[in-house]
Amino acid sequence: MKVKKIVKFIFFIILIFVITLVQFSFIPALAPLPAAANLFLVVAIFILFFFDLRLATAAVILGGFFWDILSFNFFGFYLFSLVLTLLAAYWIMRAWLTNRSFYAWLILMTIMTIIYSLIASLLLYFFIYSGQTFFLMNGNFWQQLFYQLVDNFILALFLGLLAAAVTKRLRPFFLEKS
Amino acid sequence: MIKIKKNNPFIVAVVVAGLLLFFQALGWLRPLENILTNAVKPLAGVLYNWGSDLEVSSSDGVNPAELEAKIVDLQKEVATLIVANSKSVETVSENKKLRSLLDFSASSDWQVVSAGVIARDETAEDGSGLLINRGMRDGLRVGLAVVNEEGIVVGQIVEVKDTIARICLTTSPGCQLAAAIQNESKTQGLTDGNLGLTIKMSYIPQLEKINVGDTIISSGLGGNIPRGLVIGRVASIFNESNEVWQEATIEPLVDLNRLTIVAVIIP
Repeated sequence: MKVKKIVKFIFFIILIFVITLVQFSFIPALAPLPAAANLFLVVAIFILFFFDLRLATAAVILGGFFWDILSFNFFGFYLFSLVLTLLAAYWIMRAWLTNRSFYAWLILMTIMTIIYSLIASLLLYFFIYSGQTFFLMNGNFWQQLFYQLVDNFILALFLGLLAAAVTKRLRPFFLEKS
Repeated sequence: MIKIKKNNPFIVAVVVAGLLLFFQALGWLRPLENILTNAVKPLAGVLYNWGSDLEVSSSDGVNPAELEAKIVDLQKEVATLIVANSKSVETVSENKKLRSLLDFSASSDWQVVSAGVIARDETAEDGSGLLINRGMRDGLRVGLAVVNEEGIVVGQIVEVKDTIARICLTTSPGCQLAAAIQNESKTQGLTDGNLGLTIKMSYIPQLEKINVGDTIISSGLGGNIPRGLVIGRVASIFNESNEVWQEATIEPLVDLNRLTIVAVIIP
């Protein structure tokens, strides 16, 4: 049993590192529209939605740390952006999205994409770009947000359908009529 | 209202994140950073190449008529270059003879380190920056020139870690290079990236004669970048008679979005 747990743990760490690496190297190399996808965020929220908070927190710490090491952004940028986004996601799930339906998953992912973009842009603005135009006035921010919403929605759709096919955690699939 | 429980994962996460930040500031995480980056660099390069290939194949819808016109232009250019090359060969040969007569040894102390691109630089607002798999341990430092396989300048090193480095592309705003125009007066100036698409050379005196098609090279000022490396070609000139300065828009000679292998020139 212990060995099984250790193997699962090692597999989890490797999976998180691979997803982070794909997010770091593969996705930004694509054309501008698909390059805006945040696969790691989708996976982290997926883990929170379908599994539990502890696993999602562990994923975010590992992935955020690894991403910070590889990136040339200030250290802690991805770690704190993801932790704060996860906190927001947890609060929204507890306060509003109390069932585990497909719609709830898609709505949560849409909201978290916006929240992550705002948190990340705020951190960048305060630590790097404070002398420049506020990011909300920058057309580039809105374009990137739109691309990210489209990409993350598609990824969330795909992951949600996959989860519905392989697990019973996503029930009911659609909202039940009362 | 969320109740804060003992062993709340968020408190653990914030504490862990804070500790990591603290250790990183002290430099204690550097060995781990180097181990991790060394371990993932090969895979990162492969993933970047796959992504880049997908991007190339998806954007390759070209018009056959345009292609044919481009082939004709290129054939004319090849003919012109053959003529220019033959003159250069003569000049080089004459130069060698003159140097030997003067007993002048032209030694080149510049080294070239090849590097693979492993990711796009997300810190650049317009995304026009790259990360390469060489760093301080390979002799890289800020300010060095980065060229493609043909020796054309594609960017400059702006930040270095032990095993990876960040480069700004010549089209990135803020990526400035000391340059000269290959015209009669060898006009000197500074190039700067423009919107991630082209390069701008500003503050060219009105009296300087520049033409569309003039080649822009590195001027060698500053010492970090050797003189004579090709940066681009003048595509258009903005020249108002009532202005003190004129401006030139320079087009890069290589597609900067399709770089996968580069070289860094180290003095």
